[in-house]
Amino acid sequence: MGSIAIWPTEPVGLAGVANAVAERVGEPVQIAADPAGADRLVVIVTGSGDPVGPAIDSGAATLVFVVGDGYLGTDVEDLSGALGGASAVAAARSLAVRTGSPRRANVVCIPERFLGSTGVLRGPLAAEVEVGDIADAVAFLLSDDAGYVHGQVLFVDGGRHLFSSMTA
Amino acid sequence: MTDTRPVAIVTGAGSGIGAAIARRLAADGHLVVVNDVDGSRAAAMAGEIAAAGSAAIPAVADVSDSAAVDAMFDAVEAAVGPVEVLVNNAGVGGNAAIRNVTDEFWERVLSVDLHGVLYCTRRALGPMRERRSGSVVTISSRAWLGWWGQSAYAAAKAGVVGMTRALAVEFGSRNVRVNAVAPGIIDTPLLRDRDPELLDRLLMSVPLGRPGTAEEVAAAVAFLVRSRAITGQLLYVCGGKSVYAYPDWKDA
Repeated sequence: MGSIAIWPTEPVGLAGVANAVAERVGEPVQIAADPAGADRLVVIVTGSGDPVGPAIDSGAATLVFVVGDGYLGTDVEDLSGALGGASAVAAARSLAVRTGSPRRANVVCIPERFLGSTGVLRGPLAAEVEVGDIADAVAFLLSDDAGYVHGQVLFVDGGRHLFSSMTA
Repeated sequence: MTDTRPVAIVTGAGSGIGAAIARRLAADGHLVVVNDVDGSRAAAMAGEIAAAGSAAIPAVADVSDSAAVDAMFDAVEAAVGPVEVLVNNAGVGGNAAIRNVTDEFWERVLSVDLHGVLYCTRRALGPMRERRSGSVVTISSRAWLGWWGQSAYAAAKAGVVGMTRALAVEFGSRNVRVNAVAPGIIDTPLLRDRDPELLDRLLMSVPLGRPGTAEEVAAAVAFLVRSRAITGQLLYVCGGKSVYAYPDWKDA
């Protein structure tokens, strides 16, 4: 299947996510200094989306973008996070209809607080979202179980995306 | 000895996608209740799963009959305990130009594909609410976004998306999760019967360029069943067709 890398880095709020994904897929996951070279690349999209372009050009066969949900309108403080999320979603969808590389591209959308925002909005679910839940979703999208899932956004957020019209 | 495996009811599990979901959930450690309107198909599938070393029992009921659904749940709970997982898979197809959508046709599609989901979900959610635990996954369809000849089917499959989202909001505080899967073109016996040229044209609307498998739909269902923080999700398993379906234009 080839190597798995997380790039560019683990933000403080997602500390341990690389190890958690590695546990779930049963393979090592590198925290990479460079997006090139990995067969399967998990892209942590912070700020206004600087990692998106290099990720598209990385040559990875499978891409999973991890984005904050600010682009749904959840974060009134940090507009740049919204731009980053929107650019990654647009990239995954455009890549999905393009033949060739990557073979599959998807997005995991998570509450902005994991990426450094101070937002406190909650979803309907009583349980708090944990890093392990995010790792579950990333591991699923990297695996053959998601072999027919392409160009999609998976919301790991206790359901708070439900209050946005951009989510069906 | 009491079986401690969580109980999962899969409706319409006698064949096709439902059978794949039943096999997968059984392999993942559930005691699967194989529901089908056809008793012999339900028994055969439950027998196949049990023969493979997993746990399954058959349950006959027409999901469009609310009394039959309630009776099935009563019997299942009495036999194997509380239902932890419901997968609403039972459905009928419905391909017709609007001029051919009779009242009877419309009611048939809606009664199974929408009302059936209501009857099963409503009955399942009561005990889940009390136990503060449970997971419902409903099979919608990419077709709800719109396609030729799908007015009745899309209305039903859009209906279950709205129901899923509303119930996810309603039951979140009770730790009950409600999600949906929207398959695209899936390799089933019905699809294999299609004219190969028509199938090739249909597959032009799929970025991955192939039909999905029933096992791939089942894997997505299994993921949503075991997730903890996901609710109200509509997960397309469609090879990218939902992103943009590049239609082959034709007249009504």
